[in-house]
Amino acid sequence: MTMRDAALEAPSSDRNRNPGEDGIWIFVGGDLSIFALFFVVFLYYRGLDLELFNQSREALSIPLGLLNTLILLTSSWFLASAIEDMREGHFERAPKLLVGSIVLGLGFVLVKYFEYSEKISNGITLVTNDFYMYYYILTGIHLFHLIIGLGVLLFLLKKSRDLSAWGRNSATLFESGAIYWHMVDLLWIFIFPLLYLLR
Amino acid sequence: MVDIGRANPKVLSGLWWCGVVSIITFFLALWPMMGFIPPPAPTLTPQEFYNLIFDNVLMFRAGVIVVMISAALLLPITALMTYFIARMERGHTPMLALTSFSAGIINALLTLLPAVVWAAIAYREDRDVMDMQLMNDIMWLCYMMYWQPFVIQIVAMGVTTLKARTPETQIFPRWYGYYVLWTAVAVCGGGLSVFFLDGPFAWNGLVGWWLVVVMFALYWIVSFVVWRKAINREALELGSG
Repeated sequence: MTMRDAALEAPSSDRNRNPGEDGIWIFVGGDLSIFALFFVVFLYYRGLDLELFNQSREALSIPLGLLNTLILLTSSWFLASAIEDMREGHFERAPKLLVGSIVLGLGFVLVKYFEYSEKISNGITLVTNDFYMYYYILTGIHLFHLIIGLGVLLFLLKKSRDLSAWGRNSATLFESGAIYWHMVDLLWIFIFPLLYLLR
Repeated sequence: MVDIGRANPKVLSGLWWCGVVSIITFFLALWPMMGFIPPPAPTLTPQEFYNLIFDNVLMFRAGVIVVMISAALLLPITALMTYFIARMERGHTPMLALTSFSAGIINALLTLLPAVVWAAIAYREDRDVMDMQLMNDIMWLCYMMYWQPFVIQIVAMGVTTLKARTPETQIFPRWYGYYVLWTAVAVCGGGLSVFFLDGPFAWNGLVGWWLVVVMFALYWIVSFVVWRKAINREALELGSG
């Protein structure tokens, strides 16, 4: 959105409406139901070979999983604060907060990289057993979503630098992007206990 | 500034019907004619696969012909999608329309071309069954792993739908843009099939097959409804029936 568009819009003060636009909920609702299917499939196959799944789970690093949970929660908090700032009409700090959000997202990727390479160097791959197949596929598909999310955040960062007024269009844009990023966060909050903690 | 002008709504309607026929015949061929819904399990022995094909090989061969016609009919629907995207890009050189157009052509080609491998399997009954298995592997991996052109074709559609914010350029509801992007993300999973001979991610599994094919079929059903409405509106605006 250009500055001129933003200036033309009436300031949005209505806090009771749904955040973002309605369409983004189709994407998020749809994607969450696909992941719900993945989780059910995982739990079903886990039930078939409980011993193998429990034993394999112990090789996963709970501290690294926990670290990534904290990283994503903090990243989401940065993003939410940036939007809160812009809503209040403060546009100086928001890009910095968004950079923080992006750097934390990259941190998640880095931690995942170390996690994967440690597993692979120990000979644990996608085909080692069913548990690791789900481990790699679920975390891999989540990582794929997260990388798309980093693209979305970069786009929001660029937009936030041009912004001088908060209106309906900017609310739609930033809130829809944030809903996506929070979804990535929420998915990890399901994946972490399912894979790392469930005994 | 580029304005591609308006297409004849009757031509658009013709393209739309080609698309409907394409998708219906595709499932018709795969399902009752070839017995490939769900696909043959990757774990079938070569002999079991041979029996599957040659129990009713005439119908199977006819099915291949229908699949190939259906694949070619993806070309008119590609033209229709390109027109819609270019309409939404009005005022700019329609680069996303070109992106979608080129991806759509490759998508049609990659549906058309591998089908001949099935024809070759059914062509010679005295062939080594191991070779038949190899050809069938190639065939299914083509269909499940070549999601990229289709995804590019529809991502261009989704992105343009979300970018079109003025009354002149907005021809689809905004939820459609998000819906299309969701489909694009969901069908990527088929690419995993190369890793698995069985289980949910194999080419006949719950995720590797059913999720992908349901999302794919739903995409076409939803799109045909949305596109029909847009064509009817165009016809109304131009004052011709």
